[in-house]
Amino acid sequence: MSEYWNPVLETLPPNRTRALQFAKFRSTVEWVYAKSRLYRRKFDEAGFHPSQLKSFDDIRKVPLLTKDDYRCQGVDPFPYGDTLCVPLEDVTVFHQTSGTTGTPVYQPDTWADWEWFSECWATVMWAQGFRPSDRLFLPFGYNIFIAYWAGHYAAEKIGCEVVPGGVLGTTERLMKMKELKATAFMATPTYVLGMAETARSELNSDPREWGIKKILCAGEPGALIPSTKKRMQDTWGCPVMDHVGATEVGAWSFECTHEPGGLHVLESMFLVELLALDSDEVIEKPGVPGRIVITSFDRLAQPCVRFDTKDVSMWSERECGCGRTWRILEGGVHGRVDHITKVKGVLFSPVAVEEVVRSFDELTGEFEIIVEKDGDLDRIRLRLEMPPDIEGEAQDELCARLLSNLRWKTQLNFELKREIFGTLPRYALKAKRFLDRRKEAVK
Amino acid sequence: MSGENRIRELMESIAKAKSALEELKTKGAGIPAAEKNAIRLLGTLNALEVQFHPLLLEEDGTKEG
Repeated sequence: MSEYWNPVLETLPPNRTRALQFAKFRSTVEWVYAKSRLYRRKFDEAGFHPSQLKSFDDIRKVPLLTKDDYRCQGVDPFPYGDTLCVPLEDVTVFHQTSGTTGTPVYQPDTWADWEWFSECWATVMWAQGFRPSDRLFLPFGYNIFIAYWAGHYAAEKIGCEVVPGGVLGTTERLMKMKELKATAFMATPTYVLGMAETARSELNSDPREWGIKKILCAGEPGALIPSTKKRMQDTWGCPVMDHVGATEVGAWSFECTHEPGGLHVLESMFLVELLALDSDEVIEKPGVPGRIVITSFDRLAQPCVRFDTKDVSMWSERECGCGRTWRILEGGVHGRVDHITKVKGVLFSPVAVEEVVRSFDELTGEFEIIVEKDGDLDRIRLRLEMPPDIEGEAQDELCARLLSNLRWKTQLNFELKREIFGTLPRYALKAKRFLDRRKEAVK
Repeated sequence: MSGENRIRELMESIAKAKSALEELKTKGAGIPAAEKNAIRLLGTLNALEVQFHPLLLEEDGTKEG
């Protein structure tokens, strides 16, 4: 059996991938222009018509889509409004975004779209070594957030045995995983570490002895932050690989078993562009940070065309040992554009703090960053959970080393607040660790 | 994968399957057990179709327009 889900597409020469992408992009644009009131309006206002697409460079003429554009939802055909591209009776499933960045977006899918979504996931999971011999446990709530739904169906498609772990609490999920000798599971990095903590504290058990052979992480950055990845791998005793997708977009990228330090883009199903942080200039050069803009091909009910995810990454120049010709985003998603901000005049990304905090094995790894104003000056505080077994001078020395490392990494001096073990929140899905209160002050 | 012939054969098989399913959907119209399942199978087949695009058969697949 091939090591690639689709060996033709995954090893296609880059120029042929590009030609395929252009053909699919053009079809998608023609589709949304004909079917969606939102896209017709946007394109007309921008003076763009699909017939203007003659070459790959013409893609830049297509206006960007943002989350604000989805405000046209909520009218007829209810609830999708102007974004819907198919008859409402063809929609077979509803999901919505988590709303962490604002009003949730409603996402409809037809059955064909849902099969497409699981096809993307199957490509991801096959690349991460999931096989029919895997008993995959899903510690997931199975609700209106899309999360691991398509992962469930993709795993079935691959031939895995799927154990749905919804509704159960963390301890019950862990007991079931152990009882059934699960070989793999999926979760956010926060929950991967949280589950391990619960296994040790509630079950008095070392997860490394459970026989988990692989973990797929999705939902938030972490699996490509070296210290977080190492912490997860050491805790569970197995490879941990990243996958990045989005409700509005699909399952668009993955880390393969070769763990090349970045994410392969699923280039047969998506067009991923990087645009400059402060303009719409397209970035092709490796090593230059840009915001990720994505077009999904072949998703009919509500495709996204040049959707600005507001996530940040950069192209890699390395080639992966897996043999895939799909491009790699170096380091995965580095964070959100709106989280990358200036503090005391210095460019700051919260991911840098996670990298430092999680490099200290003595720490629990739970933290929170708060940026606020003190008069006209910025103030940056770090709430850091202390380990229960380190006190006094040993704790002082640990904190001094941490602050020194943080200063080196970020060029910033943090005010440290030590928190008692267990007092910072534990999250089952995405963690909220960065609070910029300066914006609230302005409001 | 042994080359374009194999892709061509795959695409021909997909096309035949699609044609058979369209016929099933038509003949099953009004009988939910037939019609609904045929629609579902067509949706699943779509996942195969998007994996094997006609451009893959072109010798010089570099055309952008």
